Amino acid sequence: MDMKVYKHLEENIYTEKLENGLQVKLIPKKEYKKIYAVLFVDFGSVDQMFMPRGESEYKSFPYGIAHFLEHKLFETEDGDVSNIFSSQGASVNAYTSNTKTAYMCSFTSKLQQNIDVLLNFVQTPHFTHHSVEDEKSIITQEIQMYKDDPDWNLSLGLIENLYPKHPLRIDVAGTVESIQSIDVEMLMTNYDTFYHPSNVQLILIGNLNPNEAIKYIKENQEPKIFLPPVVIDRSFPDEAETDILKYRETRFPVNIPKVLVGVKGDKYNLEEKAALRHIIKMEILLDLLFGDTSSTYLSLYNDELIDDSFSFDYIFERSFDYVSIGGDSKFPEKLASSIKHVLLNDQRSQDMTIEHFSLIKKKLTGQYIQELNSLEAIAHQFVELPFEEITIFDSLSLLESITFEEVKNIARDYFREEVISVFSVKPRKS
Amino acid sequence: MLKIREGIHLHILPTKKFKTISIQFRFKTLLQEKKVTKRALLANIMDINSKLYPTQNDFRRRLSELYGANFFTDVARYGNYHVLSLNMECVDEKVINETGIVDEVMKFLYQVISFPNVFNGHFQEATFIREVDKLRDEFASRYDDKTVYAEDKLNNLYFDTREQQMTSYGQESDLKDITSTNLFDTYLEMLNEDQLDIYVVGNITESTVLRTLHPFDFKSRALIDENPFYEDHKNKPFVKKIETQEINQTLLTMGLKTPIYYHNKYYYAGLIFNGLFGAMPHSKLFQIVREKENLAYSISSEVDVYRGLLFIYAGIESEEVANVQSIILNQLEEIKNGVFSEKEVEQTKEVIKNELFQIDDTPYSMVERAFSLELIGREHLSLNEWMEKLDSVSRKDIIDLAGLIDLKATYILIGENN
Repeated sequence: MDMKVYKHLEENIYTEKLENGLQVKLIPKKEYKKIYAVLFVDFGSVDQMFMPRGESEYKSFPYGIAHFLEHKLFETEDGDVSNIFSSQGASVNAYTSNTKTAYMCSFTSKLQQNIDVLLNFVQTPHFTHHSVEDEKSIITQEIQMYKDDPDWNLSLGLIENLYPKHPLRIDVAGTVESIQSIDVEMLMTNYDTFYHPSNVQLILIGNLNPNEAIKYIKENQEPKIFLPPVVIDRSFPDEAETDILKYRETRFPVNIPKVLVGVKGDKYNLEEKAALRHIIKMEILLDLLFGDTSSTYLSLYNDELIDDSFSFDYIFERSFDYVSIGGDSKFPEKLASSIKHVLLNDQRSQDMTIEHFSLIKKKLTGQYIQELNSLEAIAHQFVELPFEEITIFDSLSLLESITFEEVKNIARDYFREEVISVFSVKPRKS
Repeated sequence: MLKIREGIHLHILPTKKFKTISIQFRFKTLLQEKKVTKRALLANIMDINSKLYPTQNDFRRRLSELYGANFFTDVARYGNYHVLSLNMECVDEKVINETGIVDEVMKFLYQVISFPNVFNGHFQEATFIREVDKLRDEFASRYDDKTVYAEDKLNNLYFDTREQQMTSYGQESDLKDITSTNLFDTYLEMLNEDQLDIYVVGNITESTVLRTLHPFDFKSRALIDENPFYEDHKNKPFVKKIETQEINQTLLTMGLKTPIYYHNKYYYAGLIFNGLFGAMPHSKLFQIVREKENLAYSISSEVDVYRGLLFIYAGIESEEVANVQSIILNQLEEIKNGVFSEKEVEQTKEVIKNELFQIDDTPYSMVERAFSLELIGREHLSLNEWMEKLDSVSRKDIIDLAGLIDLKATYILIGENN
C-alpha cells in the first residue's frame, strides 16, 4: 500500500491497485464513529455507445441503461441487498450520474461484513426477465417525478441547448419510452464491459485501520475470477459550436419564472493536476464575477433580478464541461442579459481586481477546509476527481499557487458569444 | 451548561475531530400565529446586512476576510416553540496557523446581533422592502415544488390551528401588516425576551468562549416553561381533499395522529415502529409498495416528534390511488396485529443504533441533539442509556403503540397529464 501524507491537514491516504485492477483508496479518520464506503464505476448515462466486450463494432444502447443497471444490482440471490445491509446496521444507497455509477454504504461496526456485502452485490449480477420488467414501472415513476420538478426541467433544458447531439441531453434515468426496450441481455453486455474491477474504485473513509481494511478487501477479491481487462472504447457524436441552440423556453405550472445562462466549454480532456487546477480557476473566476462579494451580485439583488436561489456552477466531467448561472427571477430576460453582459465584458468588470481576487482565494481556502469535516463530502470528491496523482487534499496548495493573470486568461478563453445559451421556465398561462 | 444570565445558556461541546469551530445562537419563544412571519423576515434581514456592514458586499467581504466564515440565519418550529437561529462556522485557526479568528468571528456576530441596519427605530427601508418582496416570492414558489405544495396542503388539513398549519416561516397574508418599524419591535422582543441558547462546537476552551462573549450585553429574561409538544385536543374528524394539476405524477400524502414525542414513553417504540413501517429501505411500505407491487419510486413515512404527526408520502400513477391507499393502511393494520418478525425488529434496532452513533460525526447534529434535549428539560442522555431504552422495547410495546395511531387527513394531488 502506498501512503501519502498531508501533514498540515493531518490527513493520510493509503492507496493500492489490486491484481485484478480494483483501485482502493483508504482515508482513516479515527475520531469519527462512522465509516463511509463508496464503490464506483467509471460508467454513466452518457456511455450509451461503445464497443462491447469481445466485439469489434460500436453498438448503441437505450438511454437510461446505466441507471437501470444500478437499480437492478440491488437485487441479489438473497433478496434486496438493502435488507442485508440493514441487518448489519448499515444503510446503503446509490446513484448514477452522467459519467459514474456509485454505490455507497455507511456503518459504525462490522467492517468486514459490510465490505463483503458491498463488493459482492456489485460484483454478482442477478437479474431475471421478470424482475427487469417489474423495474420498468418503478423507474417510470422516478422519471415522472423528475419531469414534474421545474428545476430539473430548467437544468436539462439548458443542457439540451448546449448539447443538441451529445447523449448528455437525455436525463440519467432515460425516458419512459427508452427504458421499455431494456432486457437482461443488454444489461449483461453493459455490465461485462464496464463493471470489470479495472474500471472500478473503492473508497473507504472514517473510523478504520487501513491494514485491516485492505486485508478484508483482498480476502474478498482474491478468490474471485474475473474476465481479462479490456480497454473501454466509447463513441460520442461530433458537435459543432454552430449546433448550439441559443434560446428556448418552456411553460410549467409555477408562479415564479426561472432562467439559466450556460457556457459550453472544451476543457474536459484535461487530466490529473491540470484538471484540478483548471476547475479551481473556474471556481475563482465565477466567484469573482457573480459571488456575493461582487458588485454584480449587489446590483442584481437591488434591481430585483435575483433571490436566494441564484447560483453558479462549473460542471467538469469526462466528455463535457460547461458553466451554468441563474435561478428564480421575476424578470428572466433582464437577468439573462445582465449575466451575458458580465460574461462578455469580464475583463472590464470592476470586480476583476487583484484585491478581490485575493479575497476570493482567502474565502475558498476556508471553504475547502470546512468541507473536510464531512466524510461524505471528501469521499464524493474522490469520485468527482478519480485521478491517481492528485486528490481533494491537493486543492489548497493548488489554490495558493494560482495567479490573477491565469484567471483573467481563462476568462478570455472561455466566455465567448458563440458558446453561450439561455433557457427559461415560465409560468403556464391558465 | 453554563448559565450566563437568567434565560441565557451557554453550551460548549468540546471535540478535536473537526477542522472548524461552529457557533449557534438560538433564540426561542412560544409559537404564535402573529409572530412567525415577522421572525422569518427578521432572520432574513439579519442575513443580508447590519449597521457596520450596510450592504451585502460589505457583509460578505468581511466574512470572506475571515477565511470564508460561513454565516446564515434560519427559523424552525419545534412543536409549540419557534426558534430563530444565527449560525456561524469558521476554520479552526490551528489548521491555518493564524490567531484571533474566533475572536473576530465573534465580533462579527456581536455586530450582527447587537447593531442591525436600523435608523430612528426602523429597519433601513430599501433592504426592508426588498426582503418583504423576496419572502412573498418564497411563499409563492411553494406552489412550484409539488412535493412541498402537497405537504403544505396536508398540514392545512391535519392541524387545527393556524400557527401549526402554516410553514415554519409564516404565511403570505401576514406580510401586509409588517412595517420596518414594527419589525424593529419584533427584533427588540427577540433580543430581550427570547430564551437564548448559545452553542459552540470544536477544539476551544471555555475561557476563550467566555472572553469572546464578553462584549454581548444580554439582559436576564424569564424562562419559558411550556410543554414543547403540540397535541391537538379537539378530536377533529377525518378529512380528505383531492386536487388536480397539469403534472405527470400523482402525489398521495397522509397525516396520522400518534402519541410519539421526543423521549416520551412511546418514543423508542415509535422509532422502531416507523423503521418497520416506512422510514427505512427494509420497511413494509418500501418493500411492498415499491419492491413487490412496483407502484412507486418514492414512498416513505416520517414522524414529527414535536407534533406527534406521522406523515406518509408516495408518488404514484393516478389510477393507483385507491390501491396504494389501501395497501398502506393494510401495512399499518398488520403491525397492529403483530404481523412482523423478530428479525425485522432487530434489524431496525441495529440501524437506529448506527444512526445514533453518527450524531457525533457532524457539528450540526451535535447541536441539534443538545438543543432538543434542552427543550424537554434533559441536560444529558448518554448513548448507553439511549441504547438500553431502545433494546428494552418489546413486540407488545410496538403493537400497543401502533394501536394508538389514527389516520386523520389525506391530501391527493392528481397529475392529469397522464
